[in-house]
Amino acid sequence: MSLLQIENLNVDFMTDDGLVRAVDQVKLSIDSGKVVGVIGESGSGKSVMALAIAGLLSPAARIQADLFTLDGQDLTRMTPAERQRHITSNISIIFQEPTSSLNPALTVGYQLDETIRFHEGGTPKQRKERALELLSQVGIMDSKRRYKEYPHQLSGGLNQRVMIAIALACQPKLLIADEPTTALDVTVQSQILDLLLKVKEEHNMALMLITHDFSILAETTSKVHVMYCGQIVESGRTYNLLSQPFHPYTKALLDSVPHFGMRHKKGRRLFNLPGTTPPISHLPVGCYLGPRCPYAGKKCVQPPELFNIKGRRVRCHFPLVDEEES
Amino acid sequence: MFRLLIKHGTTLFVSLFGLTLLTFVLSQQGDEALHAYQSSSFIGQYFEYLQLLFAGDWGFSSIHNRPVLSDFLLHFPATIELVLLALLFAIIFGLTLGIMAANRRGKWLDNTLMGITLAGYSMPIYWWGMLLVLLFSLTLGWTPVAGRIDYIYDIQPVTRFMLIDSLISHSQYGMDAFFNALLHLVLPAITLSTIPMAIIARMTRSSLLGVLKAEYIRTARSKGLSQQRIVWVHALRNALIPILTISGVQISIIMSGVIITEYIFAWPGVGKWLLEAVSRRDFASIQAGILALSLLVIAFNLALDLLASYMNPRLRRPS
Amino acid sequence: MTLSNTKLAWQVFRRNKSAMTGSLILLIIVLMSLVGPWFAPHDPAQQFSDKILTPPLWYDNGEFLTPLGTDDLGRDMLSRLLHGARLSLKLTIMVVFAAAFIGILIGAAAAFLNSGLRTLLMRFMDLLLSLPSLLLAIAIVAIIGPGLPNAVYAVVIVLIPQFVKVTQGAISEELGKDYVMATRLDGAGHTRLLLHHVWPNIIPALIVQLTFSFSTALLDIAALGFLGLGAQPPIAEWGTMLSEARAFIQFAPWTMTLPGLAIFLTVLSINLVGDGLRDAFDPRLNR
Repeated sequence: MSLLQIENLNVDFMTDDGLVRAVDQVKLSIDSGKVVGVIGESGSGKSVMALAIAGLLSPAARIQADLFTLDGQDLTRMTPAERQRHITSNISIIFQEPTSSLNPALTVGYQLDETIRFHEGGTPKQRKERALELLSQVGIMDSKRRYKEYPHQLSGGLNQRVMIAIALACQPKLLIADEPTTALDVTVQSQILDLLLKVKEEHNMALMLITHDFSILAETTSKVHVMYCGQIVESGRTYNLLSQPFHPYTKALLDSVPHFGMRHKKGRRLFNLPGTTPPISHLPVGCYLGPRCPYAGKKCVQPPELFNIKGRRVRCHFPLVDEEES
Repeated sequence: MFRLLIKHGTTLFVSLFGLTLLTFVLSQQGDEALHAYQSSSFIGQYFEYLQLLFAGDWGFSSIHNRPVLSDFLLHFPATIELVLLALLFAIIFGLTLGIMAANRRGKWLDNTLMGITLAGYSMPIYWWGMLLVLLFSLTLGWTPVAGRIDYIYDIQPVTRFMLIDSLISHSQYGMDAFFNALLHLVLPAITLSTIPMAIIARMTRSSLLGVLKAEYIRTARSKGLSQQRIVWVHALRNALIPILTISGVQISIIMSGVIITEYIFAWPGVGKWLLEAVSRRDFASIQAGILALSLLVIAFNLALDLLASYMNPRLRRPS
Repeated sequence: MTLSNTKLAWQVFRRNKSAMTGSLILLIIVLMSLVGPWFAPHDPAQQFSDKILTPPLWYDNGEFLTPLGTDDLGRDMLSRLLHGARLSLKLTIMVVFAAAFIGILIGAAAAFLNSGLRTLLMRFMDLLLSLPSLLLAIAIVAIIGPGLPNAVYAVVIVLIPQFVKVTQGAISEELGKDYVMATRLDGAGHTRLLLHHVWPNIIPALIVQLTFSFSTALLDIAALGFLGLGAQPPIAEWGTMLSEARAFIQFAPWTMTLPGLAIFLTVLSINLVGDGLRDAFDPRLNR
């Protein structure tokens, strides 16, 4: 039984250029306790998708889905208020910029305390004890001092720990981490990643890790979704997907990562896609990768479906599967 | 904190120096000198003037035949009463209207409120006061035209705050005197509060709308907090900081307005007293009145700055 | 301010309905003040002793020759309002441009002063700004005496600090930018730097400040007239007319409502234009 199951999730925005689809036919499922990665360039719709799942998009966004179940309950059949309540009690989310994600005018303690009050309740004394416990759980040493401090007095890494503590206070079954380490120093990045995996185990949560960095996914996730122009173009087990990408875009993304200590194959260049990612307001006809894709053929003016190939889902007419194997 | 102190310190010092220099020049304008100075030079006399100011000797009005400071203090409570009530109106209604407009952004209520407040801050207060008198006093007969209280009430001036004094004389008139005083106060206070109210409402709206886009508001939403809590605790606290920092302008507008309001409603406060002094060329009173009112504004600005830095933790406790 | 910026600002401004409405009203008021006095039916000072306090046309006993009624001395309201419009706008424009000229000079000089002197000067400007404008004007009028010219000087002085602050602030901001550093390294002198590089970039801020100063100046000149410290009767000035009408609010409300309405509409339209200009020049502030 999946914790979160989504089929055909679409998110549209009204802009000056007309209706723009930021998330397109996304199919996604997350099992309890698993770590799932979502990878894509900036503007690929991965953050919008995360916000849509967490119910945080502005009312201007139009969200549709054929199927959207969370913890066994069908969200499409709920009133907006019920949906909001169900989502906030099951999903927590942390963001890229920890310092601006915390209210500058309130202390760390206050922001943690109001979360505990809303989700667990308890007397002020119990809540404070719980808050301090959460702060030390996320590896904040002098939790008593930090409790009284303001976000601007803490480093980015510490603030991200605070954000994780606040997320934990919601007792979520799914934690979405939207580029949680991108804005942090390199040395802090791995600490935060380790922390996320640690608290995931301790609290028996599922974790959705959104990033643009394959090296993060390789170590942490069991399953990966690759996004391009609002669509998931390839999904599969992390190891399989990284070692043999089926979708040309995944392959291009992987090739763009320089491998240290590994000799490049002859003739292999870094990032071999010509051109740039089109803005979602001006997408090409058919396959969105088509005009940039070295493998494209006549078929590619038709939008590709999601094909199931060897336990993977690929949105491509010409997946890079070796002929003799298939 | 230290830098903050230095900044406020220099501001205060320059302000007081400039202000006393201005009032000293003013005090020199009369036919007779304000004080019998020992020194004959301008600078020497200025320092003597300063010493006397600190000693509480602000000069003597030959027209009223009284020390000007006590004359000023006699009229001061009436002005304070009016200003405080107007300030209260402006803040309460200004904030409420601003929050209402922000919550219904783009809807008809928002557009209507913004239209009204735009008219509000373009309103010549001297015309607005007379329009209110024409409507509420002369046409509807709800409020008195002028003054602080009807003459039938013989109120002992104890604190010289009419609302308090009328309550003190409770044994004599019951609550009648108090309500009568309040009724006299309402129209001038509304007149005076209109412009700052409009400005506060517009600023609250735009500041709140700006803050509601912040990332920490998204975090607050993700925690499942109610919309009320998000607006009142998370957004308003941050939205108020810029409003506070430019509230000094509001008190300036109110102090300008109070002179006109007192003139329209024959309100026996320092504004009316000052205007009379100007028309009689009573420079001892003029310099005292301007000095005292300006000191009040400077003190208010300083208090506001300190409050703003208290509310903004980034200024209070730099990292 | 390059041409494309001006064009862009104009496009934003043109789409702003309230700003365009304000511009239209202001245009009409300005036109009336220009040609109105020629079309005014009577001399603004002429007293018709048989027509004292004649109500406007929309009253039952209104008269066609005095469409907006007469005041307590039998003077035609319409003529007085039209002449008042010319006087008020003329004075406002003079006051604002005088204040802007002096303020910009001081502000530009301040931007190149050494930091100690500049701090002192700007703190003094802060003081003048924080003091209630009417109080300051009254203090000045008290020294130089009441009357229209003196009230005008007082309002000029009151308006100067705004321009000093805007100019100094804008120049300091521009001077901190990289391109100015680059021209400096090329050996450009102060004057050249100011005229060719900084000046074009601070014009938007100044235009917005200028617009709002028009409404302040108009309001303050009329306020001094109202308090008896500015224009003296029988000058047809809107504030003075309001002051004269005080005694007749009940019997002849039109003597009070009409001049006030004239001030209000002028100030409102100026503020609408000012808001529109600010939004047009600063897209970040879009509502």
